[in-house]
Amino acid sequence: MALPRSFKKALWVFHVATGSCNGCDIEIVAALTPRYDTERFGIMLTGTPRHADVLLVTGGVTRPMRPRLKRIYDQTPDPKAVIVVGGCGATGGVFYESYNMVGPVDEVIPVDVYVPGCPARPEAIIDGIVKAVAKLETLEKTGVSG
Amino acid sequence: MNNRSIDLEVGGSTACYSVPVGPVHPALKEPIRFQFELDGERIVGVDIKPGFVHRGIEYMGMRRNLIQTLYLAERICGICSISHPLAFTQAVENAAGIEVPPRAQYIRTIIGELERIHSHLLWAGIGAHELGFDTLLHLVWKVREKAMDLLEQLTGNRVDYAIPIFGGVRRDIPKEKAPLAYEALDYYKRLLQDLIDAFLHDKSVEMRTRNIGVMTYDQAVALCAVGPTTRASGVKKDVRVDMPYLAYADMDLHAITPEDYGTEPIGDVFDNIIVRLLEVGQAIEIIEFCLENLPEGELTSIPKVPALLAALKKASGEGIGRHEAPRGEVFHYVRLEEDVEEMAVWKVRAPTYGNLIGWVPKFLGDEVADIPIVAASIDPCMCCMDRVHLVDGVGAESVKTKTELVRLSREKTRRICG
Amino acid sequence: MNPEQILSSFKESLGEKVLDDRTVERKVGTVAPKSVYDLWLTVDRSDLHDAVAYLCAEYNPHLTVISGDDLGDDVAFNYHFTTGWGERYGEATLTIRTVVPKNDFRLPTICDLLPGAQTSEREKHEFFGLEVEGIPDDRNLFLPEDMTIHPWRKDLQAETDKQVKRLVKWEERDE
Repeated sequence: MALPRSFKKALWVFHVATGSCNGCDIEIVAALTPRYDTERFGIMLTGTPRHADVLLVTGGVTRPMRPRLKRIYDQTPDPKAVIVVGGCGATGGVFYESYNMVGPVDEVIPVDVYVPGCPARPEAIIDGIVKAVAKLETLEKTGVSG
Repeated sequence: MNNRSIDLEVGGSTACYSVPVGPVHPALKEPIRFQFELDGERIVGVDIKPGFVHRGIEYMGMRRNLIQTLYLAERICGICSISHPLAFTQAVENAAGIEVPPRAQYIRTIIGELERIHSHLLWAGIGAHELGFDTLLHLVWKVREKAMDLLEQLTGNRVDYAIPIFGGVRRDIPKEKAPLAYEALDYYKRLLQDLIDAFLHDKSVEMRTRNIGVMTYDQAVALCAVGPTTRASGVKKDVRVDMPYLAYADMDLHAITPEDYGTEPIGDVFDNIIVRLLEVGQAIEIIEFCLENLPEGELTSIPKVPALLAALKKASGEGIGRHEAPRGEVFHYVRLEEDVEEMAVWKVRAPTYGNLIGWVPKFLGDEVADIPIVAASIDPCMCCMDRVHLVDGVGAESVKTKTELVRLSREKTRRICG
Repeated sequence: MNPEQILSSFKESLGEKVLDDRTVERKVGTVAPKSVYDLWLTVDRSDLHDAVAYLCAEYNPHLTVISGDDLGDDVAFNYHFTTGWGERYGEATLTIRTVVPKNDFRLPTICDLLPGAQTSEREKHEFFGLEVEGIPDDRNLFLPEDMTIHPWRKDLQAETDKQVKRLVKWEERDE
C-alpha cells in the first residue's frame, strides 16, 4: 500500500511504557519540548493508538503488560512502524533474570527500529523516528507490505 | 490522639458507575490501574492495583555482587536516579563500617540537589499539562533543560549519572567547572520568581487546584505519607532535617510547608505546587553552600574496586540508609553476611510506596475531570496515555480517549473561570 | 530526644517481653560531628501488638516498611519505625524484630493502630506467604493476581526459578 504524503509532513506517535524505569519515557517527552522540538517537523504525541503511525515502546515486557501490548499493536492501523527505545526493550538490559519479565519487546510484537542507550538521548530518539520513516518508504518501494 | 482509625471505605449504595482507568492511561507514565466508583460525577470509592512494572528488583539484587546491584539500584527509577544509590550506599557503608571522605559527601549532596531541581520542574510541567495549560508545560521544560545541561557537564550523562560508589564518589567536580555551576544557579535565581508568579498567581490554576485532592494533617500522619505530599498538609517531616546525613548535617535547614508562603496548609493540590516550587529555591541555596565550602581531600576511601569487593565480602552486619528524594523518603535496609558475596537481605522502600494508600482520601469527593491532576499531585512519576472505558447502568459501553478526558478537564477550567 | 530514654522506657513498660536490644550510634557532619542513633529491639511474636501499641501511644511513630529475612526454619520480620520527626536531629530509627516459625506462619495485624501499614503487610503476605490476622484486604498487590509463588522464601526457590526467564547466557552460571 502506498505511503500517504502526510507521513513525511505529520507523523503521529503513540507511546507505551511496559515495564521501564521511566528514564527513556522522560527523554521521549523531552524530545517534544522546545529544546529538541520535534513538533516543528509535525511529529506529535497522540492519545490513542488508532490514530498513530508509529508506536514508541519502552522497557522490557512484564507479565501483566504482555496482552495489553499485543492489543495496542493490533489496534494500530497499517502502515505502522514500531520503535523500541532503550536497552531493556531491546535485550532485557539490566533486568535479565526476573520472574516477572517475559522478555524484550520483539518476543511480543515485531519491531522495526531499535534505539539503544540507557537511557537513550533525545537526539537518538529523533534519529530513530526518522529511520523508521525511511524504512517504511523502502518497504513501500520494494513492494513489501507493512 | 490515639484514635488512629481512618475511614477509608465509603458506602457505595448510591454508586451506579464503576470506571476502570488504566493500566495505560492519561494521568501517569507508570502503568497502574484504578477502579473508581462514581455517583454521577463525584467519586465515592477508589481501588488501586499497582504491580504492572514489577520487575523483581530485590530478587535480582540478592543474586548479584554489590557493585552490580548498585547499577541495578540506579535504574529502579529514572527520574530520581541518584536517590536510590545514595540510600543504598549509605546502608551498605553503615553495615560494613566504611567511612566516606568529606569531599565525597559534598559532591553527593550537590548532585542530589540538582536532581531535585530537575524533578520538581518536571512535575510542575506535567501538572500544568494535566490542567490544560500546555504553554506552561513547554516553558517549564525549556527552563529545566539548564539543569540537565549542568548535570551532563558535571557527570557525563543526563540521566543515570553513576556517581556514588561504596566509600565515596567516582568523579570529581574540579575548580574549572565551578563557573558553569554558578551560571546555571544564577539563571534559576532570576527565573524562580517568574515561575512562582506563573503558577501561584494565576487565577485559573488556583481555581482548578484549590480544595481539590485534600489530605488533612491527621490523615497524612496516620497513613504514614512522606515527602512534599505530606509537607503540603503541614506535617514537618524531612529526613534532611530530622536525621541529617552527608552535607545536610553542616547546614541549618528547615522543612518547607505552605506556611513559608504565608498560607495555612490545607493539603490540596495548590499546596503541593507551593511546596515544590519553594523547594527549588531551597535547593539552589544548598548547592551554593556546598560549592563555596567544598572541602579538599580524596574522593573515596577504597579506590581500587577489587579491594572494595574483598572488604565488602568480609563484612557482616545490618545497615539502614535513608535519603530525602524529590518524592519523599527513600529507605534501604541491607544485611550482609561474612564470606558471602551477595547480600542476605535487601529491602527497598520507594517514596510512592508510602504514598500509595494516601491516594484514597485524596480522590474521594472530587469529580471525574479532576482524576488526572489528583493522580499526578503526589508525583508518582509521569504521564502516559490511554482510554477510559465507561459502563453505564443499562450496560451500554462508551470508550473515552485521552483527548476526551483532557477535553473534559479543559472544559471544567473554562466553566469555572467563566 | 535521648534514645537511651526510649529503650529504657520500653524495658520498663514491657519488662520481660523485650528479649534483646541494641543502640548503634553514628557520627554525621564534617565540620562539627554530631550523633544519630539506630535502635534495635527484639520481641516475641505474641507481644508484637503490645509493643507497637505502646510505641504508638507514647512516641507518635512513622512506619517506613516491614522487611523479612528468611533464616531457614523461621522468618524474622523487622518493623522499621522512626520516631521523633519534626525537630532537627530529633529523629531516631527504631526497628522491632520478631521471629515467626514457618510451621505456624502468622502474625497479628497492626492496621488498627497505624492504617498506613496495610501496603507493607499485603506485600509480606504475597512475597512470603505470611498470614496476617485481621488485615482488611489481602489480595495480591505487586504480583499478578494469578501468581502463587513466594519469591523471597529461600526454601521455595525451585518454584520461583521455574518462572524466571534468563535473557543472557553466562558460561559459569548456565552449565
